[in-house]
Amino acid sequence: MSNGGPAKMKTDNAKPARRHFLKKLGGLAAAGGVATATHAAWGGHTLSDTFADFFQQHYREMSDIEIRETLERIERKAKNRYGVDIRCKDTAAIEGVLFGYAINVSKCRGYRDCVHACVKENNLSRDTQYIRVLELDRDNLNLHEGDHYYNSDTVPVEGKHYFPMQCMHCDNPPCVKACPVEATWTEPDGIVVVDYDWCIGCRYCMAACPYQARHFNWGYPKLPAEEITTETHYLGNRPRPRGVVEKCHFCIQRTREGRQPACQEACPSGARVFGNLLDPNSEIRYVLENKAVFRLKEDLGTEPKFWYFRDR
Amino acid sequence: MCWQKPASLNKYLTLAIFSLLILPVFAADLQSNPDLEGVASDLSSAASDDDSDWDWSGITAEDTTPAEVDSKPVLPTPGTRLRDTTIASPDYSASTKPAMAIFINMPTFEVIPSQKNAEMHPCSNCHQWTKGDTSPRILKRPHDDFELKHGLHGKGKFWCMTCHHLEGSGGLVTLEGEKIDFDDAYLICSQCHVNQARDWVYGAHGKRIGNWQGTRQVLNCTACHYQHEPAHKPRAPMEGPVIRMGLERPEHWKPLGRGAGNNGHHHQEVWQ
Amino acid sequence: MTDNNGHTGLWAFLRDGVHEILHGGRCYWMWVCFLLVFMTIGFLVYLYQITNGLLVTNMTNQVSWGFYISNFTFLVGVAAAAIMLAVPAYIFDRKDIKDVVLMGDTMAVAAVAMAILFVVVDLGRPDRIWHLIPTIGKFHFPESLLAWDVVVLNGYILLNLGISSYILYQHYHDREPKKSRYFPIVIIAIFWAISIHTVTAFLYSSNSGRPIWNNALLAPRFIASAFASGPAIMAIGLQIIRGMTNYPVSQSVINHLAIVTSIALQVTLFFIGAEIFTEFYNEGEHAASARYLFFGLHGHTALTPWIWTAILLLLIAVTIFMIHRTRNNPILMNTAFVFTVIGIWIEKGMGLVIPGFVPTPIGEIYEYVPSIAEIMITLGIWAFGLLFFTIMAKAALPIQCRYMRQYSDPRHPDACAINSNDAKISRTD
Repeated sequence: MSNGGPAKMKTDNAKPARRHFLKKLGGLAAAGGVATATHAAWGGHTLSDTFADFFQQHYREMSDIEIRETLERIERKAKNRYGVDIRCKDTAAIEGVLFGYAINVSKCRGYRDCVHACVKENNLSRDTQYIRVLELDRDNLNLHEGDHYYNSDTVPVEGKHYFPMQCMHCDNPPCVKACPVEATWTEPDGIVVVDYDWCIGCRYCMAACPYQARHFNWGYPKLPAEEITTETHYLGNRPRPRGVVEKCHFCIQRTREGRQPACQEACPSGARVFGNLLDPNSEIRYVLENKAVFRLKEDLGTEPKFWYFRDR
Repeated sequence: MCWQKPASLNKYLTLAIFSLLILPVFAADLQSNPDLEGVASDLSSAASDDDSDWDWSGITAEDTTPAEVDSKPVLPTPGTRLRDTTIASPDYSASTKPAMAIFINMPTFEVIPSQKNAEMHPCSNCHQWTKGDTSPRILKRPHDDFELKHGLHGKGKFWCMTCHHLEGSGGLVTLEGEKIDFDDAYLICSQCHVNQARDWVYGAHGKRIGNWQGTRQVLNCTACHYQHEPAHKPRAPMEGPVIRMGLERPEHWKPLGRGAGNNGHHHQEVWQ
Repeated sequence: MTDNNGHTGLWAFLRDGVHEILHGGRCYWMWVCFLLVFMTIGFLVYLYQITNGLLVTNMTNQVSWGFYISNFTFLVGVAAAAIMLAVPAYIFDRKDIKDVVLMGDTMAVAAVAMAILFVVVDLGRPDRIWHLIPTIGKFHFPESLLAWDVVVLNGYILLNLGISSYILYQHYHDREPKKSRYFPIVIIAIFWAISIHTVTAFLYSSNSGRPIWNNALLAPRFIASAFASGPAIMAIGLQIIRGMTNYPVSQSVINHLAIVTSIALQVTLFFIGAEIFTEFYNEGEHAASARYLFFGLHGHTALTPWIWTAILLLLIAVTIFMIHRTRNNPILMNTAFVFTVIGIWIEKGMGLVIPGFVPTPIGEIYEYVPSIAEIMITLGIWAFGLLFFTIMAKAALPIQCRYMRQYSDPRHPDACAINSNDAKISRTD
């Protein structure tokens, strides 16, 4: 809906004395509108979408109809902004499932295939990466000595080992406690999710996270339209607005459909083990019961559901 | 000293009220909009939004239950490079085979078969005509690229016929003389690499493809380890982290790591 | 300024207040226009920030809180320090301080208003502020410390506005305010003031992933430095009021504030010393942030000159305060006040917030300096706060003056002339 609309309609019927004033007003509004046109600040497609967006409730408070309308609105917005038809679902958690993840540090060779698969799958702004791989000297676990920007000709480098880090989906998450509007919470299947349409962008959760796992959309996400993943989830990889926090969500759009997360699929080294902690026959349970597993910053009591282990 | 009502108060009030009215418009997407004619109907439908108008037929139970797990594996993300050569890389289009027992009380799972090079398979393509000379030696074409570099046990400790046989259509053979299919290569590897085999059976080694629940489909050993030269070759890593948009890298920035000073590590400075 | 022509009632009170604000001398208008210029620039730059997003700042995922939150932290402390005037005025019934306690309350309101504005400009989605409102939004109280901060800051503004409006309203009608009415609120406000800054400190100290913040001393440090910086600002403000108007700010008030600042400074410096010792005696990786702040980390030393300058300024200030002769010298005393404000602004602002993010919990260093946009918006908000205080003072002081005239020296009926053109009669104590 263009800014010139209301003013134009009114000038046809308005008295001459006011016409000039309203024209100036329309001009002023249009000038302001032009300034914001290229930066469509809060998204929105029609006026009703804008209002619906503004008044949208928290995900857990919305009725099924409201959620359905919200999902459709997201699909419309994506179509409008990127010209891509996406499908946004809000698949519920599967009963009897608690997700866990383990990384075999002996196997990770630092390829960063997981990092880039995640960027593609989750429609990340190309300046954001949910996964950060640290290169550390062998048998050094001091994260402060990790090299984040390693770029040697080949990996793995002799004498180093590699630690991919992403959201640990803690059982006792400091970020969930910190959020003043409950925009982030733990779902029944253990995934710590963010309602991107509820987040106010205060970034307290980013200060609270001890793993530097949360990322903020400082500007409008740089997302090439041709690379958009179209199967999306409301709490997962749907295109995000500006000014909100986001993070790894265990590929909720995939894992709730029974599929593996993108990082696990991309890893050529088979270093990633994902599964249901409540299933005694799952691979993740075998790893936890038979391997020397450890978690990062165990002393902080965050109880991450992301383990690391070695073969030897 | 008394409050004097300014003569221009009306004008300011009008301006204020109009500004408030047009405020929502600043929030709207002002790009060209093919749906402009739908605005009125959208507004009216939004206004009359009550449950009785809702069409319940669209909502079914299927919308909320997860998709059923396919028996065929879902292909992994395109571009996943398991290893450099494609010999015996996985064939995702073929149907999986149940894993054969190599331990007692083994869980059931499926193994994704390997691709077969049409030229070289089956072995009897050529070997029905040639005599199989089974003395250990360096082979000539077309097997000259199969120089065996199988770890510590290569270089004459064992050679091609340790694992291969030429009877019938040819294939793999275990140390006990049992002839097996190429798709069951794990039976060969697990003869010596028992710990890895056990981890592979239970999921701590190797890779599960497509799903994390339901029928478990895993890759064969040869999908990741080139059987004749199993040691993984290093390869280039993909691109590292980037600083957020809107910031520029300063002149003095150097990557941390080898050869960069700071004794090579400790506290990474952030830039791309 | 003469009496209020027999006006009574709330409407008259507000009308006369607005009239007082809109009529002032040349100095007043120059000051107001100067502030309005900065406010306008700040507002326009904020519009620029809204349009482009927070990427106009220099904050990153690594340092996700910067200049805005630094100023917010400092200003909450300044607000809390209003009780350094409220306690002697209302609990100990010091007459000289009672004359100026409303200015302290006004300063507190202005400081909290500024603090809230700093949080608003720092938000990624200010259009979603309504999400904080209970029942229509989702207010994560009591788990979230930020929710606590919202509650205590808004409560503090209401308490202070309530007290000062009530007392001023009564004074406007030449009535003695009923102690039974305002005294309980004052008591609540005194404890509430401690709580606003404690909650703000808990905001930081609750983060176990950031060792420089995660200590029990942070809340006491905040209170101590608040009680140094707040009274210092008040003292400067009151002396300006005394100089620009004939409002009777007796020297004993300034001396009282100087003593409060002095003690608070000593405690603050002791706490800083304790912090330095505890971090560096057995230095481990947990001291990395402190090392970045005080000594630089791997050649990154952006903050070290600032923190050591701040500590030096505080040491000079405390020395001036501790020696009687220098404390009673107006120039040195005011220098000490200014040094205190600057020093604590550095130490509690950038000197606390930024090191918490450098290095990140997984070892990255990003050296943050505020961008031009942040600085302009910050100046705009400070201008707003000063303007707010100026306007409130401009409206309230005549009422106070007129009320106090009944108790002032009858030989000097013009002792309270606000207009600088009137005869100036110095009032010493």
